Amino acid sequence: MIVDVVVIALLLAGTAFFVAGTVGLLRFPDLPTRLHAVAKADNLGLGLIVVALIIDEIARDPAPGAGIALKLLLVWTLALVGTAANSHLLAGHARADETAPERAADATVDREDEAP
Amino acid sequence: MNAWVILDAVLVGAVVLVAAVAVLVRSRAAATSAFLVFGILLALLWARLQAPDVAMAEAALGGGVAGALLADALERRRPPRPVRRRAPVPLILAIAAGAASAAELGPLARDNVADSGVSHPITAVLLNFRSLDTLLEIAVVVIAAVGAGAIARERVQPERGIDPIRRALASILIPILLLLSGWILAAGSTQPGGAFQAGAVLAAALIIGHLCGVPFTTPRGRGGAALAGIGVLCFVVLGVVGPATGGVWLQLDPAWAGAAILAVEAVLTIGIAVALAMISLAAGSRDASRRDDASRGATP
Repeated sequence: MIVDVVVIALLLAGTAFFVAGTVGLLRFPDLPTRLHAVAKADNLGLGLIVVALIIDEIARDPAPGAGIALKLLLVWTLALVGTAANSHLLAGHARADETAPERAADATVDREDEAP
Repeated sequence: MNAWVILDAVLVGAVVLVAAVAVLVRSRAAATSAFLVFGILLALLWARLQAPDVAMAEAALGGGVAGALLADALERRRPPRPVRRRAPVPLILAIAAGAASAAELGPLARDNVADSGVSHPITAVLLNFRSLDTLLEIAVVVIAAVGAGAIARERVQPERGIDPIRRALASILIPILLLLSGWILAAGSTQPGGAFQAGAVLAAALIIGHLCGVPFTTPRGRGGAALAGIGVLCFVVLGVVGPATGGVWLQLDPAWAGAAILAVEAVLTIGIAVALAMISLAAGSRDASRRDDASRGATP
């Protein structure tokens, strides 16, 4: 019973990070701030959900639960690595865009396509 | 139990909605975003149908390779695409025919798995009962790859001047992807898995390797085309064995069908991976010079 409460609390906390990250992605004005918001969701939100699932699996049945726990940890680790590398690359390219005038002009023309 | 039904209903509704948005919306950026979300939702749906291998292939191809291609196409500035509206009669007919044949053929395939040499129904259908379809599908992919490779031969070059972040990323991801690909391939005969899925994962490893400047991960030119074609060639050789031993085209003797299918699948995995990577790299290659500028600017 206590395990269930802990699991649900962790899941809710993780979901809250995802909601906050998504709101940030939609509301923040530029790429660095959006990356900041999304990276939090990926790191902490996914982390909390993974911890909740690990506790749930091990509490249900320790023998296969341990294997599943390791796989879940691997998923989280890979997501951490991916998010960090993605954010770095996207931010680096965005900064290169800002410093090169003709590329910045390209970027504004790109946006015209998105207008309805 | 009811919670699953609600989840599935929401998932199916979301898939249909996002598919409609991807097809009907005028803005290319919106259509691409909708298509990527569609791929993720479809992968979830496959996972709910107890088909984790198809889910993985959908995530790798629909979300990864196709997503990269579409995002790359977005960079080329074009006016919004025209949307023509016609009654979707052919589509409805196709769905009805597919559903009708699935209802009839599904049990038939399941009842005859024992004759196929492998124990998993999907692998049995793909590489034994329906192997001519699979052969033609792979041939189409290989022809596309050879064409794409020929067009982009000069433009696809190994990346240089790689920053430490990308080098570290490659050293973490590529071994894991290779292991995963091998496991999916080996699992294919008894569990969900197989050459297409393993090939998709291996293609992802190749593309990551190329983008991170790992040596020998940029399939291009004649070598790339040869590697892409070798799977089809092996498949054709396997097909000729039947007539040569007095049987029919693509007929497999149950005595050695299992081993033959696994061997051909291993070669096919490499061929599919190289072909997918070639298509992806060729499509992204027009901006190669621009991308170099950007990465140089990012790490001064």
